[in-house]
Amino acid sequence: MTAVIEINGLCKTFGSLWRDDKTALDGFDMYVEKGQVHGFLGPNGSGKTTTLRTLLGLLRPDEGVLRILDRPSTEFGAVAHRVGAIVESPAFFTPFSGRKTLQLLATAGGLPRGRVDEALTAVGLRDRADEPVKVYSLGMRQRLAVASALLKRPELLILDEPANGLDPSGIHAMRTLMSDLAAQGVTVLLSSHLLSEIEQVCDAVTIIDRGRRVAHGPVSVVLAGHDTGEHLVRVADTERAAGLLRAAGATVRIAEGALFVGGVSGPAAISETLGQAGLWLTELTPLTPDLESVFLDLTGTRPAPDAPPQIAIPARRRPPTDSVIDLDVRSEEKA
Amino acid sequence: MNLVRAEVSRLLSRRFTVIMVIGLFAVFGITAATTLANSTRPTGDAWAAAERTAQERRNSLAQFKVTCQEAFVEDREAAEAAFRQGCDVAADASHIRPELYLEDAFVFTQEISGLTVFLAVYLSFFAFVIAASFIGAEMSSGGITNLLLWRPQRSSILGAKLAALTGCVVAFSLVFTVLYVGAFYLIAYTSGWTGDTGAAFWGELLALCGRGIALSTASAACAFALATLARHTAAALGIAVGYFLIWEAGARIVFEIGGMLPYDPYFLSSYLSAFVTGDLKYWTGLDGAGDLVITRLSGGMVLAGLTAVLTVAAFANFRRRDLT
Repeated sequence: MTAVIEINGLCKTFGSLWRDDKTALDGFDMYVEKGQVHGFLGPNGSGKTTTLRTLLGLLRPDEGVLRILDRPSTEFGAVAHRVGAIVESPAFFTPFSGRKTLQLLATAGGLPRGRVDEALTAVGLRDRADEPVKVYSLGMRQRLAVASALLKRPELLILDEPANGLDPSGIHAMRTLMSDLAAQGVTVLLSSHLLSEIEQVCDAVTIIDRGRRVAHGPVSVVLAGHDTGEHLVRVADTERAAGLLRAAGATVRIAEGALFVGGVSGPAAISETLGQAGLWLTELTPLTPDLESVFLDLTGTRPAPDAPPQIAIPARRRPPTDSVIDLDVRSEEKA
Repeated sequence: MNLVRAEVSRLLSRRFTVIMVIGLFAVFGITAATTLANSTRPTGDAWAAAERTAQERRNSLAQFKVTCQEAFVEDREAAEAAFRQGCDVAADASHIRPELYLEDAFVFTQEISGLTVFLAVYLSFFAFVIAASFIGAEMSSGGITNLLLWRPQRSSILGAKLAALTGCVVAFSLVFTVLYVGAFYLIAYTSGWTGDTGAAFWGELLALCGRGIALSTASAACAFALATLARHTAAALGIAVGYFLIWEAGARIVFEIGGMLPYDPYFLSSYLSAFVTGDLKYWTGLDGAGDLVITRLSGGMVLAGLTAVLTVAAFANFRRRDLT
């Protein structure tokens, strides 16, 4: 496959006369292949936006090789007409209407004005296009930003938090738009905090933390790499069930009144072991990792168990890690 | 060219620009209305009174010259002490015209130079604030970054903005100056006295207006450059206010108290004043041989040099800067 974006060993440090230098990127690598919808994940301050700005020629790298559409990023001007991009929430001139905003950009880029209506329609803003941007909601401004990126009919679309401020229907529409663009062969690099969206839309992901790549590859491969093979088991007599399963060679942890069972061939083995002892299951769920749990583990951003809740409840159930009592046989042996 | 048109549209649509223009017209309206209210067409009695005053002034000048010349004949050394500036310091009596002594009448030829200098200063302030706001807002909001994703040519983008700004300032200053001078001429024509408006007068006034427009344009370019370098409107305004408070006001007091005279060449305002109003004699030597003067040419060169240095620095910095 052809790499549309190729970043090798990217380093960037921001110097300041008044503060200590801040290293934003420390040897970061990323490859985005043609036709992919590629998710770009990382906690706040991890270097996502710095990467995108450097790629788009807005920042000068200290070290590293960046290529975009087969050209060095220093020659971004040569491929700018093939790249649609929004970086963070772009600032629009609010007295202008959405239509005029796009018309001015089309003028700056030497594009036919007919593209404006096309882009407005694609993001569902055509009916409100003649209103000044100052009356737009955050979500509408975000749609306008995406429309501005679509104006060029780009081969490569770079979107930094495109779902920011969108309501659920807007997020759904954005997801559909991404899929449609991918179907048309547009390569999309999507930076987002909405991990479930990334998981649904993206073919591949790159996860960045503290300026370094911590995971990359197809979504399924990244998830498989973090699959513990555990099952969640609920049963009336938890202690007895744990003993039986350990005796059968499984590793068992007990947490939140449930068993987390690993080292078994599959759910049938658990069911059989406990059924033969007359213990009837009330729940048996294979625990597959989702992107959020992988992200939290890789970036070390999972909240501490005794910390007050700061984020929404996870979309899927996953095994607690730090708060469990480890009943693994090998742990007992060590003790 | 399309880019410049887009920037012109952006500049003219800014609420701040509209407010400043309204403010400018309000000040102009108040000035014109006050002038109109305080001016009446001179009557025969007024002319007679003015002629009497002019004649008294002519006689006084003639008497001064006679006294001065006699003193030099009698005792040259004592006369040099008494009449340090010589006997020719007095104005030529033929220049004493009655219209200079008209009371309650706005005399165009007498007042318009001062009013035009006031206009030049006011337009320059207006242009400075609008220019700093125009580019400063783009720099701090990230609007310019958005544009660079469309046309990643930093010099072209910044150049288009500067061209749009200075073009608009020149055009607006020109139209406003014509309106301003025209309004006062009309006031003089209807409710005052226009005076002796010969070709020489109009030539001088035209040149003064041109220098006023040049000053306001240079002011806009300097503000644009400062806001580009400092990346914020407030920073550019702060630099300007800081300069005038700390250096032009504060240092002038220190020089004065310390007796470090003459200090005029150390201040930008001296050069701006020389450029707009004419040669600035800031030190008078004995018998006139040691006069120190900031010429109009040197004032203009300082203004042009400052504008060029700031603009080049802004472009050089913007070309290489990280846009975060």
